[in-house]
Amino acid sequence: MTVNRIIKYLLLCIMFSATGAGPVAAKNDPGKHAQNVYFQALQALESGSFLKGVQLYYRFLLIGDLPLSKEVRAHDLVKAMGQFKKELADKTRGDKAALAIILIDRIIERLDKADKRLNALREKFPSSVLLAFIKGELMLALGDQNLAVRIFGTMSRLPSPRGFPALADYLLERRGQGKRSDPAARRNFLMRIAYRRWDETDFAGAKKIFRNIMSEFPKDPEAPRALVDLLIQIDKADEAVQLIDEWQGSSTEQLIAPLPLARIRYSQGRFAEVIELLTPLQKADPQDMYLRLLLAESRFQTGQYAAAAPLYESLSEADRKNQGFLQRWIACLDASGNITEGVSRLEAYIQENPNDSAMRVELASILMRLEKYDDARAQYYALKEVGNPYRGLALQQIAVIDKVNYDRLFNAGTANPDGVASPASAPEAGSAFPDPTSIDQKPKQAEDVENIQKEQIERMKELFK
Amino acid sequence: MNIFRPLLRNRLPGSSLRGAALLAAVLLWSRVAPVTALPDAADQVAQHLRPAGGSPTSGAAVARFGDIYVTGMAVLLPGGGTLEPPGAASKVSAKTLRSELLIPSGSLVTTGASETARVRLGERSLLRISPDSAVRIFALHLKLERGEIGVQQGKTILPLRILASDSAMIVDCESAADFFLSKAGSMIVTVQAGTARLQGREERFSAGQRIEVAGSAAVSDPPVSHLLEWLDSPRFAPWQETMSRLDMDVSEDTFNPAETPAGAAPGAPAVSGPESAGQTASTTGSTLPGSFPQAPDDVLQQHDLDGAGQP
Repeated sequence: MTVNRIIKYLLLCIMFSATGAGPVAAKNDPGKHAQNVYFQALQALESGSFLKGVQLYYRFLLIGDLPLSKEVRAHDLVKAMGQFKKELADKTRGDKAALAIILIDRIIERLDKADKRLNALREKFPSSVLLAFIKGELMLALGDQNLAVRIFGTMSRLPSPRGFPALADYLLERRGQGKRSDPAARRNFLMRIAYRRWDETDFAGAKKIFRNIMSEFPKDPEAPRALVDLLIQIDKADEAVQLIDEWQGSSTEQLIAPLPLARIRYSQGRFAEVIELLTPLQKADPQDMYLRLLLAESRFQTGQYAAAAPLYESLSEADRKNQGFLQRWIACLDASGNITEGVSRLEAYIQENPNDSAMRVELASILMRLEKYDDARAQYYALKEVGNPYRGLALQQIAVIDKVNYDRLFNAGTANPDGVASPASAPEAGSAFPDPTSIDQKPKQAEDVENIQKEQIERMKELFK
Repeated sequence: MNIFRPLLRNRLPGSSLRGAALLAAVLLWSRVAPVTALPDAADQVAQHLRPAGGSPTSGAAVARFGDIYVTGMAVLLPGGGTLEPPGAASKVSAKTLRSELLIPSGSLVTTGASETARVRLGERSLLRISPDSAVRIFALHLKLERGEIGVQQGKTILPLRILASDSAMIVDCESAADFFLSKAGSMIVTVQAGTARLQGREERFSAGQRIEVAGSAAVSDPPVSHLLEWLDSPRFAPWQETMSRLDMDVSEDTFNPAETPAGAAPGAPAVSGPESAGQTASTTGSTLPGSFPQAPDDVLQQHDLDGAGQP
């Protein structure tokens, strides 16, 4: 029996088993979920039908649109890969295993590896239309459109081409490169693929496709606009600026409006430019809250706390549940030497939202700084229930306050003539609790704001433990 | 693992600077102290670790709003989805938006059966809301109320908290995960990149893992049958239809070994690779979709390697 006949026999066995032994769920409930190829691929893999699972997974990759990162795909296929690697050396199963490994490498985008192994297998089976199809599809994935088309073109002359040429036609047509070139379809397809890559966290892949669209459709602003957003997301604002400059040099159309431009400047940390860009815009459109936020934060970042305060106040008034706006407003008031107003606002917020522990801690910590220990203790007392993320901090602070009060009562005028807590009673270094002796109501320096914010962030981290 | 990442994140815009930082670190580590290279590199790093804004007047490294309140700086992007602000305010369709819209805390964003919404969180994070889904956006967390969302948490100071039913998950910085909420209240979480964990637990799930979460319990790699409801989502409908039209419908696997497909020519001379240059792009002449004369079969599954077709 030749190797070819053995392979034929094995593949036929697989075909029959695939036909007769469908996924359990599909058997129990025919029709329902049977169409979901990703689900069926996972079921086949779970049941140990690795080849069938890999084939189904490959079909899902070709046609499906569920974004799955390379890591997820690799995780789904890791057992199958292990099995096929074991089978590679087996005389009767080796070729089939090689085919499966090619498909897995293709699925997890180790394209060069897949291509190398595929070439070797094609030398062994030169008339296989399946391998020709995979080769063509692989070339599409590698971006060699012309070679892909040529390879697909050979399929109809191979024995028993069946549906493969039609499937190849479909893939090309979907890319706008079928018999009739359709640039709009191609552009839309590429945009979809780029967004899918983005959703799969393949940022480099998405970036590459956006760049390809830009070179193929240089007048179309959608791809560069999307790429600007992507670059900002991945912390490459400078590259985004470069891209905008390139566009401005080649087109009369403005790539992005002043507000997104301000967002890029903001992302670069060029806050003075943001203020310059947004101040006139805000006058023209005072209702735009996003614009107001960017302006407020830019003023905050440049130490213009008094100018930022009314902006954050209005943001907080418009969005009363946003703790961020409120915290920033209070920080502005604090930095401007007007913390008393901030305390009133925080107290009002706590009255409206008694279960907001983070903001209650915020209030308590300010009261501590203001040496209003009894008021602070009352706030901490409300946080000491079991299960509260700030229970530990609350108990610690209550103990500190009690010690301060004790010291005040019994040691006043001796150990500490000012009547404030002795250094020994202050919390340990690294605590989220500030030193009670450091309170004043003078306008704060940027360093003070920075330190206060560091403490805030440390406290907020409790919410995410 | 990049041990320099915590040092460099947020404030290093250029790869050249990363390179400089790396060089400085390597030199320090190797105890080589070239008088010229090291201070330059260190200066570059220090310069870019200075406060955002770089304004000489700012003076302090104050964290940016969007790095702390990631979901408190959420903007709905034009495209798909409907925003329902808290209270009696009227709904806003993202289709009508000309520019990004700041989302008030407590707002619900919903999507119809065939639309996807995108919400930027902070500066470097992204929320994708799949068709037929609903998520409520708060200043310090998201609450999935129906369907599926995908989140990409960028370089931020605080991680992202996702609540659904009675579960709370944390997506770490520089990580991504998808969340599907079942009707029974359990969640299917797929970690796409980085790490995620249940709130209150130390164990982290890493990229590639799929977890079923119910309350405070999590099972890694749940049985596939538990994914049925998730994969029955309406957003799969369009490509399911495509699969049928391509005669790749596995539910109708009616392969008949005795059948020889029309047009097949077993034993026909093979055209072996490499492909000759100059061949035309024409493949079959068949038209797509839905014009296949043959019985439904699965071309990717029912073909053998040597191309001889079925016996």
